[in-house]
Amino acid sequence: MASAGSGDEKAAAAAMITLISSDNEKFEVTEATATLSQTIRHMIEDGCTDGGVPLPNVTSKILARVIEYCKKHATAAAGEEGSSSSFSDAAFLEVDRAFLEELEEFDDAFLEVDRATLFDLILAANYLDIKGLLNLTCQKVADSVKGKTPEQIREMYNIVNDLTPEEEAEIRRETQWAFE
Amino acid sequence: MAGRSDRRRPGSTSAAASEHSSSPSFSCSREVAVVQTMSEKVYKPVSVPSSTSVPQGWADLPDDLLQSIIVLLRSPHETLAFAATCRPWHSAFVTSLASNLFALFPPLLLQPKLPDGSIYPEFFIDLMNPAAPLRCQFPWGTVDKMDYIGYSHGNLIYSHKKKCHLFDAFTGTRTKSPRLVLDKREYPIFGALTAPLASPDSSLFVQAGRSLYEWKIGSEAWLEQYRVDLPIIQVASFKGEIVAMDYRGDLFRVRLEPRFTVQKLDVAFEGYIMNPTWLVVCDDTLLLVGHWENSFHVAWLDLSSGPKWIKVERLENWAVFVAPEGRSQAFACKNPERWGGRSNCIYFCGINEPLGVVQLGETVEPLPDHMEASFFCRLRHSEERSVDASPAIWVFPGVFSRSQQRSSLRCHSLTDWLLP
Repeated sequence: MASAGSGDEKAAAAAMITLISSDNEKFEVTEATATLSQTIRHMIEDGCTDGGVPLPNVTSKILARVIEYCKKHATAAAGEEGSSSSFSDAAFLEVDRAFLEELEEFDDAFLEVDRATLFDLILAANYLDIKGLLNLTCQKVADSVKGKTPEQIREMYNIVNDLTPEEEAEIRRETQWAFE
Repeated sequence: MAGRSDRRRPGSTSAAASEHSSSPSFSCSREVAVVQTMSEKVYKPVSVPSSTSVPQGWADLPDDLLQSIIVLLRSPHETLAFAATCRPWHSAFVTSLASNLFALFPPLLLQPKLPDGSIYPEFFIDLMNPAAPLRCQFPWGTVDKMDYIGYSHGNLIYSHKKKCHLFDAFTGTRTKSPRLVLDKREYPIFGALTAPLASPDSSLFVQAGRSLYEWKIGSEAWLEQYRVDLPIIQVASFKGEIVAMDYRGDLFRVRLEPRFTVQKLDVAFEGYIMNPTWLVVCDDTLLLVGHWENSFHVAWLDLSSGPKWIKVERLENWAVFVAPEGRSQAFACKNPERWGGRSNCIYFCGINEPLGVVQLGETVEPLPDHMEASFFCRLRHSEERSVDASPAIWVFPGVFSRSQQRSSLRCHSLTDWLLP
């Protein structure tokens, strides 16, 4: 499977895409990696990637992280395609499972970031339309809310409470049962 | 390949999953529902950052991103805490109610009695955290002398001396109807709300004897009446229409505007039999849940060529919740594995026995010593006065209720199948 993955890499190596961050840093990536982003996929399909793809909403720091994610998951996608024809093979399933576990570990480690970075990653994933990354980062936020009160959530995310006392009273009346 | 990532992280694909149904029999076009909750009325409009401006902080996240997060939250409590932080987050919560947010979570079990028959001290059982029952605002003492006639949109509905009383089990709010003008021997046997109480198009409709009555919430009097042959036991909102079912399984279309009308639909059962009991809406599909002998059966309403109830062999990624009180609301929950539940299963609650879970089509084995207490023996409909003022039923907080804008979303195909 590993060889199948690198074979795909080689095949795709012919088509390299240059991504340009908001601070003008250039990143060269394979088409397989870049097309995890639906936004970039559409640009490639429209043939407007010559001379690089400017991404004015993404800084080099965040773009580097996004590319790291896409590289890993592009390899995973190639691996899955390669193995799908013989999915009944027990050995393949075994390799598959190990690979999925590795991917999960990668995702967990990838999410070990501060809240500011997480915020930028969500915006970048949304802008670039990378479904997997968007889900992953949104899930991180959703998980962080577990067992927290509204006040604790505000503190965590640096949110100013702009609800009027009347609005808050109304919310409390409707939701008191959940917090007693 | 989506299946693999599902197994790896059950919650992670639910945002995508909520976009389209996976079961072919459940796939229908998505409709846009207009939300009208109490909360919405209270809040002034919130300016959503336009796509050109870059959000500076978490509160400025665009509405669609906040909604992507909301559908990944794992319990109603987390959802409510999330919604209570600030205006933009609350506004995103209100918007997301339109996409059937409550199908993400199991309903709560309102079980007023313990298995030994003693009164349960006013708690909800949360399947996601059964060890920590939630305090219920319900005035059991008050309803003791009343007749239970139904449940909808977070409210338990009782009748007493020809008035109807609605109790919101979550907030403790009580709403009282004017007195119904009835014959001496008649009394309300069934009641249901057509929309959440706070919604402008909310009406209570009640059956007494052979007549249906409508009370527009907050108005001075009961408005109109309509004759029916048999007791109505279920009401559901489906594709902008209100449908009602009597205890023989006949289906009716109910309209409140321009005047109260109830019209029977010509629906056929194809090649199988069951005792129809509950209506439940899964996304855009209306399901009929019933039983035959000792197992549950489910059918879905096919409107493609004349309405037919088509037998459902598998519930796919749904679980359905039913109670032995026929005048209770059934609920459906999508991807129950998210909270440790099981897909393709029926969750049924009892009075004298603990909660049961059975796969669709499997036989429900009664407890050895309780043959007469089997779930199906205890099924009660509204043809008789309720013997229990506090039945065990499934409930869902009204704050998650949504209402559909009836006028623009009507399912025109129903009109073609009305019986004269």
